[in-house]
Amino acid sequence: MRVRLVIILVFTALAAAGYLFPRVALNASGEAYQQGNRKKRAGRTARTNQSNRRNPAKDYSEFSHRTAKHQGDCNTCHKAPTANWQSAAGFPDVADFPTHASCVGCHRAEFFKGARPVICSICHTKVSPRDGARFAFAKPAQPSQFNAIFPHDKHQDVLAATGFNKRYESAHAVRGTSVVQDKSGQKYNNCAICHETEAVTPVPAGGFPDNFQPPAGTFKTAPVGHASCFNCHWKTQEPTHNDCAGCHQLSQTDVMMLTVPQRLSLKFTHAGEQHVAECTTCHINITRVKSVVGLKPEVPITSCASCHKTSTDNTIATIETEFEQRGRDASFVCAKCHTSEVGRRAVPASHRALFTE
Amino acid sequence: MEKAKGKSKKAKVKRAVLPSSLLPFTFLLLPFCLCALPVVAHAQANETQATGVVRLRVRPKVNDKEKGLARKRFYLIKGGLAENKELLEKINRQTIQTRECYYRNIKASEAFINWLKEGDCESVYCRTVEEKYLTGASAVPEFQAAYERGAKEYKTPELGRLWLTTNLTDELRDGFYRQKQAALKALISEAEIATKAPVLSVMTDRNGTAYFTDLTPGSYLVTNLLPVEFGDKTILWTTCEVKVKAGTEIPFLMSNSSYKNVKCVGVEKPLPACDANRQTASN
Repeated sequence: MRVRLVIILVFTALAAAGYLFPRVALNASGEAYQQGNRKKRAGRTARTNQSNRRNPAKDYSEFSHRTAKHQGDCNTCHKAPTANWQSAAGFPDVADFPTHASCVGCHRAEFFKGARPVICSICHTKVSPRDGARFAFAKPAQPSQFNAIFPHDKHQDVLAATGFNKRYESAHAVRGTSVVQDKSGQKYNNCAICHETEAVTPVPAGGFPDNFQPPAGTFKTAPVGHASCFNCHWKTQEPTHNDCAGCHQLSQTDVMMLTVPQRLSLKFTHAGEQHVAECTTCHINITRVKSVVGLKPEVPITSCASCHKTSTDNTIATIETEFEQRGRDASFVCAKCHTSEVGRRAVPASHRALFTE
Repeated sequence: MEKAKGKSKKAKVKRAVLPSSLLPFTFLLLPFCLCALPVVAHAQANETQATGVVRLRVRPKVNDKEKGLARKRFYLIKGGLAENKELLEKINRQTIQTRECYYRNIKASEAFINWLKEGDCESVYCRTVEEKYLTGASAVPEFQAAYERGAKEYKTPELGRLWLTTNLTDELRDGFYRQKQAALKALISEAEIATKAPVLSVMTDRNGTAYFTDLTPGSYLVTNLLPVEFGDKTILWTTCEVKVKAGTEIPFLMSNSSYKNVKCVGVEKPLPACDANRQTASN
């Protein structure tokens, strides 16, 4: 009887502890608890910010598509093409800001507020009645408020031909040139229609790790702007120029375009003499990608291993030689493909698997 | 001895008493169970990371010589032949117009059909329309008309040529592609409902190689869902079952005839002749 009482008391005490100190009960659940609290706090902060925004002190120097009243049909403000398309883009395009008429209906008061109305600075470089100069549309240096909707797989389907054809250009070649010689001179569309070899390597603020300077041709370009879209999607082929939402999805957070590609193997260059294979030979998952949001054109180590795993030449660094050196000295930094911030990390399982078969 | 027996009996009685006496208090363990859930889920997530890879190689034989089937989409459906029997029957019953029959049916010019054939293209997007196809003996009437409209509309002849597809009719431009996509979409949707798993797809490279990665171990079917046009024949693969094992890359060779290492042979049929009436390539 006494034993039973003791057991019941112990259970009750443990249960009470579980209710009162859930964070201590288990680490994983403690994290979940903390995350829950963080979310609650974030929610409260967001609500506070929202209520602050409702205060009269509105910032008219920034335009946001997220404002409810700015979410009407796109063509109520944006005209396609804009009057300046020939001089600005060279092809029918939305190449300028909406006219005053789009804003003044609601913001007349702000337009005439003071000698230098702050609302003018959204589009105009100088707030002056004598200077109508505007920023480049659509302020390319600023983060976008939209995500791009782009079904990558569909585009690969329509650009790919059928059956046997030896005349496909390698996408590692600059657009319009052909690695696989095409005697007929025909130009086939493929990855290279959107992804060209970058002639000048972009450098991030602060430079690359180890002051490494990737040579020209290291990266590929990605389409930016309407130039790569409107040649097919201007009219009839949906989404067309007047269906902005077909490609642009309003994002609740600012979207910053990557100006410099992020790479684990920074020392790989697309323009390398031996790197003339088709894109999909290395980017083995790219044809199954349905969207560009979160797209990572990853290349598994097996793609590199076909050439770089081993070598009979002892002077050449290979995956094998670096793997062995790391085995002997844990502080060894793999440098054939990586800069030091990646090369000093623990050897990933994918790399180890190359030598465990 | 009897004393010992008596002790063990007592112990048995105690053990038997414990669970029933604690029953009313089991609800008190609820917070512990809830706390343990993320740990279990985490462990399960780790288990699911043990995946496999299928290295697909599609190399049909032409004139007794094998060649990679380039730029074709293949699909991976969860489950083996037995589980997907109904779906496979549906795939085999599927009828789709051949490329040539489609374009003849919409009354495309002979020059247009030849331009597509020349580049083995399914749609106008597959290659650039060079100037020689806009004027002179090699001119393609559909291109010529679209070019002339575009040159006026876009103010420059070059833009008229580069944006030529914007002035083609929907049927000419991508009607064949859309027709195939509609059939594929219906089959994929049916497969996903039946298997309760997404259908994966990859496109073969120039050598006919493609990879399905991050696959959970189990049986899968590899198929092209619709017959692929291949010279004067069509090929459909519907009986290709592959077993994926964790941590391994399974080489899977597919062809139109059986030779060394071929794991699956597709059904080959001649392309149907096209006449004025609508022709379809049935399986």
